Amino acid sequence: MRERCLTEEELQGCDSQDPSPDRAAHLARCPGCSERLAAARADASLFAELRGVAQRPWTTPSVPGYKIESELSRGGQGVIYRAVQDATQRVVALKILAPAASGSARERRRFEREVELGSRLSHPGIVTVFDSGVTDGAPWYAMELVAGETLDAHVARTQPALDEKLRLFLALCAAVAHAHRAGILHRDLKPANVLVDATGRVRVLDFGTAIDARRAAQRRVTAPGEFLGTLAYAAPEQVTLDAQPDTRSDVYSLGVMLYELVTGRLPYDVQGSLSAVVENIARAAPAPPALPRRDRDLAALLATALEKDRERRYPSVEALARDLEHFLARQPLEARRHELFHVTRKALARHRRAVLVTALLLLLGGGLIGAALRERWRAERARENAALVSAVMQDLLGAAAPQRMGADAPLRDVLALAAREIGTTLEGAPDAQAAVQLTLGDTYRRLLMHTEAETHLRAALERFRAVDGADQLEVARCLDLLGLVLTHENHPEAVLAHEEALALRRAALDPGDPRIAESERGLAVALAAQFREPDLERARALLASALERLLAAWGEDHLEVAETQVALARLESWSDSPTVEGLLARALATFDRHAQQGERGDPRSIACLTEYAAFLQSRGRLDEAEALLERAARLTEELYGGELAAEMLRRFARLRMARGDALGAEELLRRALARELAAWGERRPEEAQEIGALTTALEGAGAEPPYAAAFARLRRYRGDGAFEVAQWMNTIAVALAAQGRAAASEPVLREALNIRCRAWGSDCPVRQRSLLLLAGVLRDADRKSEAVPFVQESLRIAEHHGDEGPAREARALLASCCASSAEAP
Amino acid sequence: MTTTRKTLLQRVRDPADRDAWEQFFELYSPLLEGYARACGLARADAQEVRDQCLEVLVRRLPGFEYERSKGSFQVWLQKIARGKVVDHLRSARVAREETAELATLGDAGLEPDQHWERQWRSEHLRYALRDALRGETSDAERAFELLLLDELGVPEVCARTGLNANQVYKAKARILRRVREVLERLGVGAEEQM
Repeated sequence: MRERCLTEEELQGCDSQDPSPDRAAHLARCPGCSERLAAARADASLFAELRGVAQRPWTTPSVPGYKIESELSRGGQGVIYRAVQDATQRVVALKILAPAASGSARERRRFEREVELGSRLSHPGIVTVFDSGVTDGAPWYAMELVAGETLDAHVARTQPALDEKLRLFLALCAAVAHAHRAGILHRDLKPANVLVDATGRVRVLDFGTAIDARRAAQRRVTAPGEFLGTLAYAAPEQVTLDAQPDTRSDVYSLGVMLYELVTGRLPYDVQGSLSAVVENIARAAPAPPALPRRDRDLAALLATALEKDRERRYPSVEALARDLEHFLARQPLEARRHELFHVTRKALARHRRAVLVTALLLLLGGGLIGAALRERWRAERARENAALVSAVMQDLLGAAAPQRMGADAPLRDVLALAAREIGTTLEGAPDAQAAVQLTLGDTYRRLLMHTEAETHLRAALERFRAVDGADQLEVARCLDLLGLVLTHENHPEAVLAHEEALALRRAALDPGDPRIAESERGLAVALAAQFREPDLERARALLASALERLLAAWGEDHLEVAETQVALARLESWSDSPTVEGLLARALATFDRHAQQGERGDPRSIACLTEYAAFLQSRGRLDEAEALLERAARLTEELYGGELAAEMLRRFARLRMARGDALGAEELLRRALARELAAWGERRPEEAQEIGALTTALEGAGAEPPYAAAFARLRRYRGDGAFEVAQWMNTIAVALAAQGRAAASEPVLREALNIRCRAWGSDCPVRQRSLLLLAGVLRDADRKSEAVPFVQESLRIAEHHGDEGPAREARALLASCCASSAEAP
Repeated sequence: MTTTRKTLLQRVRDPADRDAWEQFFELYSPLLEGYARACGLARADAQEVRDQCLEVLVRRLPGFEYERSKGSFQVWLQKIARGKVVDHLRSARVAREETAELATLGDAGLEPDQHWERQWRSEHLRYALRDALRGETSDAERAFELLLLDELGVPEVCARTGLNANQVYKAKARILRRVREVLERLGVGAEEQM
């Protein structure tokens, strides 16, 4: 007889116990059955594992103490039954978590929270939870059964008048406000969650359903059908995940509902792709509601409720309700009072920081709550308040990124507005005016708007001086800031400002106080900018003293120390001092240590990196230089965002030239120019033109290169002997020479050499480098005999300073000139 | 490679794959929350940590490349979770006493890391089971439940569901096969812990 294969049942039997002898014999002979047995065993193992983790699903809707009568609704989360409580004969709605959902911890938690919140809230406008429990592993709760329809259905059916609609809405607000007072957010307010019963009473459902609105938003993104109806009411911060929802998120959802109640449509388009909808919620301004003139106030109210920035929204549901009541009583609204401000705000919506500053300044004196505060300012002379406001402004503006904000017209408008406000709103409180003006000046300074910075700092200074007993340290700070601005403008008064600041700080502070070092450093940098030998000596001494003071106060590991080391290194590098690299390396190490501790690098470390890179480049260590420059660029981008600053591009351009890549350098210079034009086009047309002309010169095979005129203008703007002028000339000349356009290059180099000679005397090492460059160009143009005197002069200076590196370079060049000129007839 | 053959992790790299993201949240939310609870966080804090982790995932997964050298997704996710828990504890340091008190509310007696390992598997199993049951008829689903949870024998299951024994076995085999498939798509071996 042919052997029978095992049935499923027999196989199942075999996996839990040893098979009987005849089955075992069959299994040994039949590969099919033994394979099936192996599979069955694997199944059994998986089955056992599943048994261990699976939670008992909900099966039968039977809840002790209740008689379930009928099913009311069935959703993804659970089923709602109409039921009668045995004990009280009360008719209730019984919600039981669905089996699939009860398997998920998240759904269970969400359900539990619904119960918890529902039982905590007792308000006529909120559906009450009576009872809850878990039966057969399935959680359930019993709540008040509301015989009614949803808000939108109710409105569609009864077509109430505006005031009637608003009264319904006010009842809804009262319920939500009650929950807020109990510390509970709804987070998913929408018409479908609001029931209106036969008597017109409003009831809010589903508190805590959207326990986590951010995740809810994500979930909605996953299920477009279910989600569009809901997302339309979500606040921007809920869909962009920018912030945790708070009471103001509920205010926003109420705002959308109100808008819909009043106009019959949603404030913005929620059709189309999900990302477009999210974008609309986050950014699209609500369509102006078409309202009769007498209802215009309602538009202002809606705009305030639907502010994208929740800082500008009604801060609470009560505030919204209050204004709505004002409107119903035809009284003036809070929202209307904001309107003027509101318009400015709209225009500035993208510039949050600027808006905050405006708000702050309007707060100081404007019509909001300013009056009371202003009185206090006047009454108390408010020095501390001034300091506070000043600190807040510094905080707000501290992160202002010059490169990014340079062309930021709205920010400038706001600052201008602020400047105007100071005069009127802080009248009678000169020290407060001075403090705010000081901050304003500093802000302009960081935005590289030096003219404005100078104006405000001077005004602040004047005001400080007009106040009896003004804080001398604040005066010193003001002077130091003014000094920095003036240094940048190459103004000789810079030295005077820093001198005075230093004197004030020395008089007011303990000699060991590191703040003195700040003035010393400022003065040193101002002196160094004069490029006169005695000044350089004094600058060096001041920086050494500042460094000593800072080291004594804070030790090596301090950013101020590092900053001072960089300043000293810059000064020393002009004389090729052997200490340069040590200073820079130590400073960089400090910056790096701090960057590791903090989240981002310090902006001052950019100067360190670029300075170090320039040093390495001058030593021919191009790879190291490039690495540092790359770091500087990355950090610049990280801190200030956007494209690389023109300054950084020029540095890369110089590096390219050093690598002999003239075309690459030119390309970078062009980008620098475009960048500069974009950032400063409006502000400094002259300089932009200059740089434009210089760069065009690189292109031109034009007979009459426009350098002369361009340099003349640049010099007029920057003053004779400006470091940048000669620097730019050299950069361009080297690029020209590298492109084999020695004829164009030579006059530029000669001019640069003249500037340097005039500015820094004949023995300056910087001049030495210019001489060498010119000699190199002449040699390459086969005018070796002309090159020789320049090389010799260069060698003399290098030897005079004992600079071995440059001297070697000069000797080599001299050798090559002489060798070839000797061969020449 | 067809969509169904892709693992969930591969699918969520596409931010537009809504279904994948939905599944992903469903699967990992309880795991993350459970882990945070096992670390001693109170429920609300654990939920916060869970959300922070999910946010990281939303941001990072689209660019997530599986690199063996960096360890598995399981390890990566645990690192994220641990980091967020530590951040949370650190930020709550001022409220130290409260934290200590809440710590006792966490899942008792389980080391967080053990918890992670264990929960990783059970959450995946649970998820796979839910997914596998999705396409089944209510009779088959019920039969499986009776076998699995009520631990009834096949004859009893037949009596309660009206299915015959062969249908019950087929249903069981089919559901288990689907569980395996789902686990594979999730990148979790079905027989990992045999």
